Amino acid sequence: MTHEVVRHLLDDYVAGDLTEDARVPVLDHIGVCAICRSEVDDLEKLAVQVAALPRAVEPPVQAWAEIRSVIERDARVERTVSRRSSSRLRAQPYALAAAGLLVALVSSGGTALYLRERAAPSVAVAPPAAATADPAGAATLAAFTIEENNYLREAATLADVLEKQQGVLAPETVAQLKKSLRIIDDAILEARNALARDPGNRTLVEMLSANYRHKVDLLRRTTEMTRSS
Amino acid sequence: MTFAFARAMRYALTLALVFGASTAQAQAKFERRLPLAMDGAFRVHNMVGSVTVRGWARDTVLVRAKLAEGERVHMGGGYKGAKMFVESDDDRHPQPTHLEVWVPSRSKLWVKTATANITVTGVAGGLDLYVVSGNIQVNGSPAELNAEAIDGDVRVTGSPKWLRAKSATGSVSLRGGSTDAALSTVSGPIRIEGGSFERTRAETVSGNITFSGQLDRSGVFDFDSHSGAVDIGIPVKSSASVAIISISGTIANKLTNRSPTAGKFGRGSELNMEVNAGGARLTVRTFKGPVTLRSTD
Repeated sequence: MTHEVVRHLLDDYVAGDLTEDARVPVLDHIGVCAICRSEVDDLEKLAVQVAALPRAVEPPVQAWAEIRSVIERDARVERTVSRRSSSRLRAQPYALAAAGLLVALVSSGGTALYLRERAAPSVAVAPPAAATADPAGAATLAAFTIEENNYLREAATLADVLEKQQGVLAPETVAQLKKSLRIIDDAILEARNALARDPGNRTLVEMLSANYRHKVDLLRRTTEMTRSS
Repeated sequence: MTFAFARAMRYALTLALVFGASTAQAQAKFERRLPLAMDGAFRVHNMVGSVTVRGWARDTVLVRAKLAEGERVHMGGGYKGAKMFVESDDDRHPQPTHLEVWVPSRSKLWVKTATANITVTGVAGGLDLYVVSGNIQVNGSPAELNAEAIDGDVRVTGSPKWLRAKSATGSVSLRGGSTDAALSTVSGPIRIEGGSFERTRAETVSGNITFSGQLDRSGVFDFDSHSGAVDIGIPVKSSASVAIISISGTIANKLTNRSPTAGKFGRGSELNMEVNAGGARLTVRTFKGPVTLRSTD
């Protein structure tokens, strides 16, 4: 039995689902093939880790308070950036992009802090006028901030996996992939910037979500295709 | 294809290989037949070259190929399901293998390639087609079609009942009709044209979307593009509830006399209207791409 054939059977081998007729040649091959042996080790470790996972995870008690503080801080930063640079930025597209990036970074950083269950900022932040006047907007942004963080985390994980598999892809494909990711990132930045100006706009939230979905989907599809190709 | 079935296929293939089923060693021409039920499942994996599949009215799979030296074809399986793949001595640099495959017309087909075009004609079962950097062309009306490319084009000519088609930089097109279609790209254009459509969704980041067809009265149509242009052409007599919004782009209504209104904060445009007392739900959203609604009459 060749390496290529055995490779397709390793997950069943680890799960103990192979018939005796198939198990013996697979076992023989694993005995002489370092690659397959290593893959079996990885699969066995993964099976142990999966079995050890809890059935459900409760959110931290302080979750909502921390989300609120992050939202309020984001809104304050966004207003500050917008106020200070509104006239100047019209003539400077690079500065506008940088401001958007800052907003995105502050937001992402804040939500990442929340997810790591670190303490909220100790400085008390007064509720911004916009949030007070538009609770629906704050709620929309709050809900999206959590969703955004999930997308960011998933995209980062997939990008790491893809980085390791990049050698499998043709250079032209890698170039195309990077081009596509740049297009998506530009769209995310643009929509994120607009959302900072109009935090209650559900259409913008849906558009931004769609852009993130495109990114995660592209990374996932590429990862899956390269994994077994 | 279910996990259980995929596992069954692996067993079948393993047994076939263990007991000396077909393995063609470094030969120029390869030809092999396998019995397969008319609604059986067949999987094909070929890294480089091409895969051309045709449906026929026989309960048999026929595979023909011209193999370069160092390339081998493995086939195995049973009457309900079988699979094949091309193996290379040099996994890093496989030689192109051009496969011609005939399958029962109602079979369920799964094809995966890296750099190989996939062409499928006349298969009415389910199709799962994956390619990294090749094109996918489907002719016919499979019950289900899932086609995914990374930087290749996906072209469908026919009327699959259920369609999912994706590419990143490549184009995705459907010429025909569908009761449930979802097409997606990053920057490639999406074109949907032809007959009647029901649930239809097209999503892209920077690609253009072109739709030209009939709206089923109970259909739902969603078209989203961040920065690409969206062009929707429907018959004047269509019955539809139309909701178009562009955050900072323009909307041109060439279907009725209704003018778009300015969006919030004086930017962008919105157009909400009932055409012929409503019916199909048509929604278009762009961030900055222009939207055109026009008549196909």
